[in-house]
Amino acid sequence: MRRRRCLKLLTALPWLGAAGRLHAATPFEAAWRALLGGVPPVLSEDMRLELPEMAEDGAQVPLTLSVGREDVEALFVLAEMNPVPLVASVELAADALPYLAARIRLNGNGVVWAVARCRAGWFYAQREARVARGGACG
Amino acid sequence: MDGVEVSARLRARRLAEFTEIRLLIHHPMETGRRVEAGSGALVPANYIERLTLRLEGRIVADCRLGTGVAADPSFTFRLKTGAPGERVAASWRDTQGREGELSAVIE
Repeated sequence: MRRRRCLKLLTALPWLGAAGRLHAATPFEAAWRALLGGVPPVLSEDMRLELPEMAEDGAQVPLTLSVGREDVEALFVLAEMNPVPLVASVELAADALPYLAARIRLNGNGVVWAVARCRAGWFYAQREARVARGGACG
Repeated sequence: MDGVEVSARLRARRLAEFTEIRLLIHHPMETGRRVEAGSGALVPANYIERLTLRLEGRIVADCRLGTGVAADPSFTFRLKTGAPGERVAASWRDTQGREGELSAVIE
């Protein structure tokens, strides 16, 4: 009952805008949902995501991703600390190995996610990343 | 390409297990959020949003890129296929509509 009254109060505060804005998704949450819908991927031991433990320069961070599976269709890299978290999406032909090396931007410390869309489903790996010098707004 | 000159390097080598393709594109990958020192103005966004890799004309990797890709982006891809003498090509387009293309023969 009390909760309902609170909700009523919130929706009655026009200067807060839509009540939903109070619970606005972070850019990362929005990107994650756009990629995966509501279905959580499975943590995979077959995915190797390599990043420096401490990147000297967030504007140039080497990343290597490889997946020890035969059924990978696409790879995705997301950086939760970036204003645009989806860094890259790569659709792979059947004869392309599930491997990617690239240099990315990291806009601070946080988690970098690699997601693989496979015929058997969606899998992921994650790595905590730290940067000594922030990343020029990746 | 008009306006900004964009140069790139592409190298493809057949190794024992796979063909390794390395691509380096000179491009500022402007995010649209960088403030120019001095004027204080925002530098307009200009980043490579699409990158396609082909082996003998057939797409083997099709990438959509965001502002989280570093300036002067470099990529390495690996293919199970690809023999010395076959041709690999990379093509890309940035958000200001400029396109680039480069091909190389597998060593």
